[in-house]
Amino acid sequence: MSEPSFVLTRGPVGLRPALALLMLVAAVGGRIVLDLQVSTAAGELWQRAVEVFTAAVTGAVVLHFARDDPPRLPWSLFFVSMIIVPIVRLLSYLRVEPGGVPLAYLVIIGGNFVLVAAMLAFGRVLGSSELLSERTRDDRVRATAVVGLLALGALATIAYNTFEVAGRGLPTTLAGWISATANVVSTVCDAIAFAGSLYLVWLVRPLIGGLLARPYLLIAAAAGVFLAVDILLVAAGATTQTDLVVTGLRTQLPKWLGCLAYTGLALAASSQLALLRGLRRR
Amino acid sequence: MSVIKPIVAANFADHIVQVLSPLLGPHTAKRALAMICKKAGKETHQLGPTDLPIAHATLRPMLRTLIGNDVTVRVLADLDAGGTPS
Repeated sequence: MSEPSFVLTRGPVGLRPALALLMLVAAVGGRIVLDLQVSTAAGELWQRAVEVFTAAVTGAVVLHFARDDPPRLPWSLFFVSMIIVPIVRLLSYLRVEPGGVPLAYLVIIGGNFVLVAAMLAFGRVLGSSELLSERTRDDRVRATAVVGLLALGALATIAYNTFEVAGRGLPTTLAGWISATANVVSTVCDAIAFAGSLYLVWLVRPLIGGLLARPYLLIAAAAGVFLAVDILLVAAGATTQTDLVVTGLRTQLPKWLGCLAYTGLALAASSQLALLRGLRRR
Repeated sequence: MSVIKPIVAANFADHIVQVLSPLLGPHTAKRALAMICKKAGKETHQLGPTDLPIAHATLRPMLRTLIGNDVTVRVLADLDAGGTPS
């Protein structure tokens, strides 16, 4: 090509960082302000809205993919795991407990498995793109070492939470057993999801600087916060955030971090949605 | 709202990197270019608009895996926009 060619291109697509920051401040700040200035109930209601928004945006991302598009499966699984959250909250609020067993705990166990499946599916899809898959032996060794370290960290977290739950003595009721199981399963799944999301970061690291990397970086950050929430919940003797009775910062912090994590996931989905919509308009 | 703005690409290889960089980041955009060169059996500076079909064939499956078919078609159309033979 001997002459410079004029290329028609468009302005930036994707979620603008300033808007993302504004959403983060509004969502988490809203929860904190309502908790401190109005009531915990108002804060809880605010967070339910954040959770529903997260599920809605994730669902919108799924709708942007065709049935045979590879990213549709992981985003669909991610959507299912997000839509389960408002269902769990509703079941918890309505105290649906057939045979004395809180249905919310059973559903949350299922939701955790779906979240893990979503992370594995994201890893599989991203890893299958020749642009991102590792080719050299050194790269594979480094990747294995990082994942191994993450697995050790995850195991340590699981062990801490399992001993914490076991230290309270064996549950005496079926509901108690299910609650303890939900605690351990939730921690195991969140640890796997966190390790899986960091593996996603490893996979997309060559994309850093590009719009495609953003959703996965945000998912990883949110997964890390979820793991911290799990540890705090077990330490406080609760299974879900809504089980916590606010007595001070120790019981309020998991709720605020939970709001931060859901906002992170909402931003991940919003970022992906803005990217898909922006590119479609080109 | 997006704004149409012209970008001056020094050559076809630069054009490919310019189109892909906002989406894939500069590192992976260059990697994609290297893959196109390998498939075309040419050096970077030898690439030209006649290699567009090879660029499409190389990038389509990889982009489709990451962003789906519809958006892939749009991105490849952007490559075409700078592919007028000189």
